[in-house]
Amino acid sequence: MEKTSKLIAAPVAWRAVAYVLMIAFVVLTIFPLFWLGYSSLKPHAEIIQHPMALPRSPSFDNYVNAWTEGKLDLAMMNSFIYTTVATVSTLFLALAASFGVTKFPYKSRKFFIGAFSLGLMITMHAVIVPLFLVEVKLHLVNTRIGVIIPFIAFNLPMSILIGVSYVRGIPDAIIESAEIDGAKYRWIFWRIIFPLCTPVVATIVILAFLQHWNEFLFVFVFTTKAAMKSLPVAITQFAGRLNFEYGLQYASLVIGILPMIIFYIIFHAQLIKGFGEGSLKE
Amino acid sequence: MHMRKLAIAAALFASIVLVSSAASTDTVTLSVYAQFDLAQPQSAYWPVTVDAFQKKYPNIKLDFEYVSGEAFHQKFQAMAASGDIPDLFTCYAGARSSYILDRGMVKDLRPWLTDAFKKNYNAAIWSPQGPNGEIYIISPNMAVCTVVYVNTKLQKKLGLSMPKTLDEMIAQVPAIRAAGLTPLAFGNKSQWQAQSFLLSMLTDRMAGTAWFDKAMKGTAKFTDKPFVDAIAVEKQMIDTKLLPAGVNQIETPQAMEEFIQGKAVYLLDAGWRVSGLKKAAAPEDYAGYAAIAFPAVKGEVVHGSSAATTGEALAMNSKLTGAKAEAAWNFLSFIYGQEGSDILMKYGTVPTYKLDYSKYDIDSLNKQYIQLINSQSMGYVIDAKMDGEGVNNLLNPGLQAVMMGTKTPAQLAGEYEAWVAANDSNRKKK
Amino acid sequence: MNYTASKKRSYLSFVLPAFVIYIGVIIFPVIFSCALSFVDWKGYGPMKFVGLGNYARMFADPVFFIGLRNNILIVLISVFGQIPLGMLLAYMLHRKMVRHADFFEVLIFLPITMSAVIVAQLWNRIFSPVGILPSFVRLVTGNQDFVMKIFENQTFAFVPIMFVLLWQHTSLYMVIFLANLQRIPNSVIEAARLEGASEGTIFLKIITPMLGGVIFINSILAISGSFKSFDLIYSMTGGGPAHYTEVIAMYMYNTTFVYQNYGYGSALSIIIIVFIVASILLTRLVTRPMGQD
Repeated sequence: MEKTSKLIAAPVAWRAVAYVLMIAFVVLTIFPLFWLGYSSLKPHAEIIQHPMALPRSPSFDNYVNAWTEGKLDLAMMNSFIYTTVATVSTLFLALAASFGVTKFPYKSRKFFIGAFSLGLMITMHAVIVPLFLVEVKLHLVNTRIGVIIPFIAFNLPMSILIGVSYVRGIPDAIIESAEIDGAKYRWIFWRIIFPLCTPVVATIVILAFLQHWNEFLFVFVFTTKAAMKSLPVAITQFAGRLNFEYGLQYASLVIGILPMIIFYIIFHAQLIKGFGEGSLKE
Repeated sequence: MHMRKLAIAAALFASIVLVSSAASTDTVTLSVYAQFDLAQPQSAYWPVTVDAFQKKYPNIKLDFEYVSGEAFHQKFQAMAASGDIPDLFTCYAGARSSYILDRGMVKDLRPWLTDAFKKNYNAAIWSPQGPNGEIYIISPNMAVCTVVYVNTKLQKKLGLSMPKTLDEMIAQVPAIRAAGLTPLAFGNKSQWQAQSFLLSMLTDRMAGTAWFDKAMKGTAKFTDKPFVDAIAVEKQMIDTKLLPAGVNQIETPQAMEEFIQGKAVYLLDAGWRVSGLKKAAAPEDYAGYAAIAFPAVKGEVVHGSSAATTGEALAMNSKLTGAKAEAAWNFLSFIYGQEGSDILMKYGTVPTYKLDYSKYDIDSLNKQYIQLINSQSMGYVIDAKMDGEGVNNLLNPGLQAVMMGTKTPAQLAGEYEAWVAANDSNRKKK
Repeated sequence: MNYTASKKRSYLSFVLPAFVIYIGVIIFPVIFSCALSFVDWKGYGPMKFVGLGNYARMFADPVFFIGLRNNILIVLISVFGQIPLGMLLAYMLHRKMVRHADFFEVLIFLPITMSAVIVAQLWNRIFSPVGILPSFVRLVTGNQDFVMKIFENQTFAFVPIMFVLLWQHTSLYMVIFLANLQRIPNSVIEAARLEGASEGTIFLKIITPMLGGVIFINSILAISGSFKSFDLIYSMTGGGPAHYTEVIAMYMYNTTFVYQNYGYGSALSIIIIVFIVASILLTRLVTRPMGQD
């Protein structure tokens, strides 16, 4: 905060354009959210008869019903377990790999970067059946670990790429001086690289959390017991095949979005915690 | 065949022995994978049915997994590939469930289906479902795909009579539009409605089921005049503005909403929409709704018909034997038998199980609907008969193209016939 | 000697854990998929080897080409729309060109958290023939048949979807740029300002080159994401009307799981990979002169 206030302010024209762009985004975003929010307080029949009107007598019935009928409490807990474990694992695995492939002078690092990039190109639908067969063989179906491992694997390529682009920019001199001091690489990673990476850690965590929180396919296919369902899977049960129950659906969608929004508000401060605040002052 | 009969007899014998010795004490657990959306109004009966069953059979424990929509099939295909599927599962009597039917994973129910049992049902559900006459499901209801719902209050207000023919209905268009209303609400955004709700019925009107049987075998062709004419009727309905502008951008529930909001005089939708209408409409409006057959079409050879298919139902895993198989049968014969059908009827769905309707307190729209479907003949629903790829990838999008004027009916019929001739499994059967 | 060996061991201990998980989950199934693309298979029963038959079919399949065209449109809007816009927004936020930058940042991020289902429903409520906008226009103009013709236009039906993609996914790139802007010392911008460089010059001539590597990484993300896009389009249009908004990933899904044509579906998923690799190589070729490693 303080470091930027020292900066010379941008010219008025830029500020004007900035306001226009930002406000355009905000209007486009607030409107749907607002509509979703107040619609979730209306009963099904009222949503159909007056889709755009504000609720006549706002009620949280939809939330209560969605929460109990959809067993969303259980689903919420499962989602937290899957998302947290997978996100933390992804972060450490990705950052370690990023450090490995950027700061070590081995030829194979090009191979690894290439291989990981390939992962970005695979659609989940293309692997779901063979992966399911493997999980059946390994008795991983209906286990939490059987869900979490594919979560991690599918997030690694993106996280590593983001990690690589950032870690690469850390001056080699910092690492070299530590090497000369005889520091172990594990120490360098934890004590030097990791603290320097706060913004990219935040980026990876936010994007991984987002992807894991919204992930549907793996939980859906690899689990059969209600006790294992995540929020998106539970919520999909309200999206009808031939008819719809809008009230319940909207309420459960709000329940699904809220944790993500809260998470972002908490974590976004880390995004802009500058490089400059660490040990690195050029 | 012979071996199979022996095996079935042996299994039956074993199950009788097992059941008579152990049924009353041991608990049997059955896993059920069902394509169900409990949030739908027409599913409201289901928890009641399950409760009633549990009261009667406390020793049978049911472990449900509910999935709705296309996702149901995706997951089931993965399960089927692994060779391990649940004890009971939703199954269609047709191509949509081929991934389990063709693998022999579904139990033939015929050993249980005595004549005394079968005579309780609408005979239509006992037509063979497998190559050797197998019966896999007891369909609890017919999925009637074409019903015209009428807002009689609006009709009266505009001074219109009940249309007997499509031409009469079209003649009402100017008056309805002059009042700022939509004549016939209909939504085809999901692409399959113009085929399931409209073309199937029109094809039956123009050609009848005998022609369709021939077309499936290849002795008649989809380029034949009646089929082309049926497609052309859809185009005519667009050109005369009977159907709303942008019909291919409207979701089916949105069309129903238009109707409920009193912005449309007629609604073209499926029979199962009755419960949805009841749930969403104001009671005084609902009382003024009527259900009629699609009006007569010029050149039709079958009169007053709709199109229907047997609804999907739970089926049994072919691996089940002994107490488990018996428990599964108890479940199926309960939910699709007299007790289950009674509940279904009370919740407003007409079951295939024959009931004395006079005993039920049925609302006016449902009463009309029951009379209607009992008085009309039913044609085939195209996507229940023909391979999914040809219908979903070619015919449905093609109908949209015809309605938008980028393809002619004859062109579409030609393309579809070419695909069917080369690929459809119906034509490959000898 | 000993030191080098231990250094190599450290290197592998950083890279291999991620690599093993990744190979196990992703690469094996892809090899399986690749093999399936040469057979005719319903997902069960006999497999029939058809060689390149599935690929040959693709090049005679009009639906595939509509999908390809739309996928290329998504790549274009991603690379030339989302990335520049995301970068610009990140820069504006970084430079604190608006008050309450935090508030705006959160709100720009929000669309990406919204499920495709809700975006699609709302879209329908506004733009479908019974939605607010056409109803309003009908009221004002008296034209009873007003609908958004663009959705039924073979050439332009996809444009509205691109607009939604721009709104929903720009924040992904904004977040990545925002984090990477922190790497650039403030002194760089300050010095340039003191020397009289305009804001535009700073953005284009100083910041953009410094973010070159990130732009490249984001392009890779954008291209691969573009070819895989599924959820939003599936919910918004399902490919309709008449296949006008089909994309390859959705076509692959339907072919495999709805039409149960595993061979052709696998060929489509392999072709998706081929197109992504080709696009990324092309991007590399284009960005190399910009001096990026």
